[in-house]
Amino acid sequence: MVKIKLDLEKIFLILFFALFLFLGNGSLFDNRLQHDFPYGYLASDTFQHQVRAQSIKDAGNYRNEASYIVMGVENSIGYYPPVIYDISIILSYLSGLEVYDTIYLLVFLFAGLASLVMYLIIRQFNKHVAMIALPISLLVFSGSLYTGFTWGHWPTILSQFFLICIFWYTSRINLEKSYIFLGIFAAATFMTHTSEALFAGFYLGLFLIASIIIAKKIDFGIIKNYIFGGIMALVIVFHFFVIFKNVWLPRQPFEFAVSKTWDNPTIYLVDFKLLLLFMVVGAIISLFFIKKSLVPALASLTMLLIGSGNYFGFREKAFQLRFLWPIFLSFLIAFGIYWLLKLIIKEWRLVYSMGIAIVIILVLAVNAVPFVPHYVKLESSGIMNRFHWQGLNWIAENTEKDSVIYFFYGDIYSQDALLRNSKRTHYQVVPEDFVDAVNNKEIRRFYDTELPGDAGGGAPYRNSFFSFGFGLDELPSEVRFGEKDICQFDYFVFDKVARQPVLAQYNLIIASELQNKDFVNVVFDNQVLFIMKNNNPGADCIEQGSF
Amino acid sequence: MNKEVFKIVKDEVKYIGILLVAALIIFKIVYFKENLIVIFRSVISLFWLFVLPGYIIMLYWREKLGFTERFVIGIGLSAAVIGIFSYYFGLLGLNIKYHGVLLPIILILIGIIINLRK
Repeated sequence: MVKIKLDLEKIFLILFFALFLFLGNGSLFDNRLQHDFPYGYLASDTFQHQVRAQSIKDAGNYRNEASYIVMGVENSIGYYPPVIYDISIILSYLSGLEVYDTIYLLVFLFAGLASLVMYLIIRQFNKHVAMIALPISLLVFSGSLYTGFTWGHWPTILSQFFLICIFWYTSRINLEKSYIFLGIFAAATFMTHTSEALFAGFYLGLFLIASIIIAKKIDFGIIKNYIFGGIMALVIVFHFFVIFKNVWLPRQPFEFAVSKTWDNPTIYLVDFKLLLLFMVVGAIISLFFIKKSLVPALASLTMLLIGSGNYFGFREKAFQLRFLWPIFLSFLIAFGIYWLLKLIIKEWRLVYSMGIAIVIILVLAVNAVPFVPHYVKLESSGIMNRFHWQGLNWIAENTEKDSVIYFFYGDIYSQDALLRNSKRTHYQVVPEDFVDAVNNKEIRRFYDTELPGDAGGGAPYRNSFFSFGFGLDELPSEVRFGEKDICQFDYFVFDKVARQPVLAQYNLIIASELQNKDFVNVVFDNQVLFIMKNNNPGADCIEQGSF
Repeated sequence: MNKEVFKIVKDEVKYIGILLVAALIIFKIVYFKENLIVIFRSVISLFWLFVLPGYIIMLYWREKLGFTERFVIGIGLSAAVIGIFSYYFGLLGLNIKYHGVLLPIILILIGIIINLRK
C-alpha cells in the first residue's frame, strides 16, 4: 500500500513537471527545441544575455567582454555573473542546439525544478500541503510574471532557484557535511545574480535567530555550519567577488529608496485575489506550527517581506524577487487551504491532496473561474525574425572585424541589444532626428546618432588584480552621442519595411542617394533589409538636399 | 561499505532509466514539432550534464535522503558546480567547448571517490 502511494506521488511530480514545461515553454517555443533565430525574445535584455553567452562561446572563455557589447571598447574584462552563460554554452555544445535556445530553455527548466525543490522542503513538514502547493507554482506564467521569462530576467530567476536550494539546505542542516551545500549554493547564487546572495544572507540570519528562539538556546552547530559554508563560498567566489566589489559596487552603488511601482510588469499581493485569503490564513496558522514548519514558513515569509521591500528600500531588487513569488508563497496558500479543509475533513488521505492539486491546476490553467489569478498562454515568435537574423549574421560572418556598422531606422532596433548580434561595433540613428529629417524632407549627411551598448559596468579593465579602470569613462561623450557623419562608417543597414511605411521609404531614398556614389554598393539583400558597403569611408558619400 | 553503494546504485539505476525515458516522452510531448534526434540528444545532454554528476555526488547522503530528494537536489548541485567551475576553467585557458565532457567526468570521479571513501 505504501509503495503504491509513493509511486503515485512520483508520477504526480513527473506529470506536474511536464505540465509546467508544456504550459510555460512549449507554446512559447512553438513546441520546438531548435529555432532558426532567437525565438520568443520579447525585450532587449533577452538579447543582452543571448549575445553575451554567444560571445563567450565564440571566445572560449569569459576573460573579456566582447568589444561590440561595450561600445567598441577593447580589453574590457568579463564582469557579469557568469553561471547562466557557462551552463547554457556547455549545453549548446552537447545538445547541438544554438545558445539562444539553450539559455532560454534552461531558465524554464530550472524554474520548474525550483517548484520541485520547494515541494521537497514543504514535504518535510507535510506531504499533503506540499502536494497542494505544487500547482500554485504555475502562476509564474500568469500575465505580468511571465515577463520575467520573456523580458530576459533570466539570471535572477536562475539565482532564485539556487536561493531555494539554500532554503532546502537549512531544512537539512543536520546532514553530515551539510555546509558543502551552503558553500556551493551560496556561491552559485552570488555568481548568477548577486542580489539573491544578499537575500540568502538575510534569510540565514533569520533562520539562526528563529532556531535560537525555538530551541531557547544558541545552537553552535548552526553557527559552525554557517562559518564552514561561508568560507567555502568565499573561496569559490573570490575572483568574481573582486570584480563585483570593484566594478558593480562603485558603478551601480545600491541606494535604499522607496518605489511603489516598477517600469516592468510585476505582481502585487492583491493580484493573488482569492488566494490572498488562504495566504493570510496560512501565514497565521504556520506560526502555530513553527517548530515543525520552520523552513517553509520562514522561507515564504522572508520572501514575502523582501519581495515587498520596494516599500522600504529594496527598489527593483524587490520586484525581481516577485517573479518566483508563486513558488515562494505556495506554502502559505496551500497551508491555508489544507488547514481550512482539515477543519471539515478529519481523516485526510493522499487522494484528497491530489484531487485538490488537480482542481487547482484546472482553476489556474483554465481562465474561467473568477477571483483567482490565471495562467496566460503566450504564443509569440518575439522581436526577431529570420530576415533580420540573416542580415545580422551576414555582418558577423562577412565584414572585416574592425568595420563599423551604421543602422538606419528599423522597427525592432529600439531593442538595441539585438544589434550586438552583428558582432561589430555599431551605431544607430536616433529615431527622433530621423523623423525630423522626414518631416523636413531633407537628405542629410549628419544625423543624431547613438552608440548603443552595455554601459552597466563601465567596460572595466584591470590595472592590477585589485585595481580597475573604466573604458567608458575614457570614451569622449561625443563618441557615444551627437551628430555623426554617416560617410565615416563602413556599412549601412536599411530596413525596407516598417510599421510606418514612410520611415522605410525614407530609408530607401537615403540608400538611393548613397548608391549614386560608385564606392557605395549593396552587398546583402533580402525581403526585409539590405546592407551597403562604403568602400571609401570618410569620402563625400551622399549629396545633401531635399526630396 | 563499497558493496552497499553498488547495491544502491544497482537498484536506483533503473529509476534513472525510467526517468530518462519519462524525460524523453515529456520532451516529445512538449516539443512535439521537434524531430526525435534533437529531442534525444538534448535529453541525453541534460542527463549527462546535470543528472548523473549530481546523482553520484548525492549518494554520499544516501542514508538520510531518499532517491527523489537526491535526484532533484543533485541537479541543482551539478548546475552550480559546473557553472562556476566552467567560468574558472575558461579563465585558466581551457576552451569552454571541452567543459561539457570534462566537468561531468571530474564530478562523477569526485562522487565515486567520496562515496568509496565514506
